Amino acid sequence: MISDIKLYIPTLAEIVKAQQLTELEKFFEIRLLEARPFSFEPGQFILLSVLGVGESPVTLASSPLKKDGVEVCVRRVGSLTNALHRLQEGATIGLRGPFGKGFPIEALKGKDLLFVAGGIGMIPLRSLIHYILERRKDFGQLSILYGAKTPKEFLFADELMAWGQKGDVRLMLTVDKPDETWGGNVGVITRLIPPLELRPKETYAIIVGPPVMYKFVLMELYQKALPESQILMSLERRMRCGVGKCGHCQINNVYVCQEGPVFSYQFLKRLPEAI
Amino acid sequence: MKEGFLHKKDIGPFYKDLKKDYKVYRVKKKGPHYVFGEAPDFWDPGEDYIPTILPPKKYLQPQEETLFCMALAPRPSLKPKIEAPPQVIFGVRPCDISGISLTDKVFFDTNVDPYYKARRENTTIIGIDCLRPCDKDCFCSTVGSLDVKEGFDLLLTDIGEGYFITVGTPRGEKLLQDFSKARKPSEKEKESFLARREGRKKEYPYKFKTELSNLPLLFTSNWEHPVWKEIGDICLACGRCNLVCPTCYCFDTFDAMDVSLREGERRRQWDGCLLAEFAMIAGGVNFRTQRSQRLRHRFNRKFNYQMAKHGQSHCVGCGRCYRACLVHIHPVEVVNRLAEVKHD
Repeated sequence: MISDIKLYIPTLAEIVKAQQLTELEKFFEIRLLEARPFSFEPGQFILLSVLGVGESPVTLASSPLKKDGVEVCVRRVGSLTNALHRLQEGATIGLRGPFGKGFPIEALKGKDLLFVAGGIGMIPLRSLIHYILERRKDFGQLSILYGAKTPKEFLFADELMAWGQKGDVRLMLTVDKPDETWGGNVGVITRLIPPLELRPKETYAIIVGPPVMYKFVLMELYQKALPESQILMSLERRMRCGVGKCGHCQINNVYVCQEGPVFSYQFLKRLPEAI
Repeated sequence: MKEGFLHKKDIGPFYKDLKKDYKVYRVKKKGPHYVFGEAPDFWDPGEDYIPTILPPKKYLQPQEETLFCMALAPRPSLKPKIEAPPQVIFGVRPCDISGISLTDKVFFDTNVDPYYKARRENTTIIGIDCLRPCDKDCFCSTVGSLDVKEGFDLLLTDIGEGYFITVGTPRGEKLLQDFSKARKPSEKEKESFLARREGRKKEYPYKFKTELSNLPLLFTSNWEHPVWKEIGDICLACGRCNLVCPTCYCFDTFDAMDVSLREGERRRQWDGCLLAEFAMIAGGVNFRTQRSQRLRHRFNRKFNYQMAKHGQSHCVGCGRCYRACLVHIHPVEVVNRLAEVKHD
């Protein structure tokens, strides 16, 4: 239980690196101004303040094993994210958290992992993928399916190349609209699933993407006979407080900021408002 | 002193003495309505009372409040700001006392809200009991919020010559000793109190067509009931029901800067789940686009989600939402529509 005067007060932090990744997404490395450890689980989120503009929930994109600062990647969609994009290296922002429950790393150990990322869904998955690659021996086969609208919209393109060349990662990319540079898959991400050979009982699927993607990916995984408890999803909601009060992230009787944002399909299927 | 008696002629001086040390709020007339506000002398509408436009939650979780102050230059700095002057809310009825005690559960649960906590701990609740329903639209006894056991410091029950006082907290006891001429009640006064409390039961008919404890399951099993579309079709999504509800506490946060844009505050303000944008996320995806979905969510919060969690209806039966509703959606009618479903 937190009983803290600072419940809603951010810790100040500095943007130490800002890098435009795509037209809409920008990458930031952030360090707390005060020297204190910041530990988190992949899949958890923070509330990020642009002081004078407001506060928004953002998932952490870096590995929890990275000690000097955290990384986020933010799409420019509204007033806060636009203001964030305008900030330069050296700017001060605010940060609260981490909040929520992340991916169940202990349960994933020893299992084959199938990542299904759509668009900016890759951001929370990057945190977990980095962690897994640093602890590679603890996990089984690793497959990463990643879909973007166009080839230019893939996030972390350099890292994707590196993962694809590792030999122990199966990386499959697809785009909705190819351009002249693209020689790979075209079409929705669900098409990548049927040809996969999975060991359903030994596999966890981890899906993060736009709301519309979930239903179709679930249908394909159902064909593969994956147990519902081994299908994990991270849900997007507009958390205002992060501490289970403000009501904005509530799905049926569940506060996503407290019990999520990572859930199993087994849990979510009883919540009609979830996806 | 766990019980007391205060003569009616002594309540005015009690009120005046409290005002010396506290900000005191009581029920006042405002046009045809009642409101809580400040007033020089004691007055109370007694049996003419109908619930105030806004419940006393406005003194515990103000419509808008500052969370912290910020200066952006020369270097950004943040400073918490909590304002919680000692205050007494006089004349709070059982429905609102229940509302406060339910909101306590929310804000003191898991992550204690420091703003609510500071205000709540500096707030004394002096209740005035109800012996008959305030109007035809209240249903406090049906949802179990008439016989309050917690949430007040003192509860005054009119027994004719004076008030029988139930002491709820040590703070209430001390207040009574320090500020009032209350004495121990006589046997006869206690009997009169018990007789009136017993006698009021027949004044409050049970209004639901099902047991109160059935509601969480009834709401879960009627997710697709036609009543949601029916009330959704007439609802204006104005959010008045949220604003006037003693147990609606959801909020939004925003930054308010002064004209120099160098200093400002982060604030929070009441928000309402009936408003269209409430469940909207970045990029405009909205998980409750339909009014029927938002009404269903609100009803489920009162009679299912929160009720299952805290073991008590989060609707306190004050009837404010119905009185405020421009299209006359009545919670009792909605519950009874669900209760009518015939199971084979």
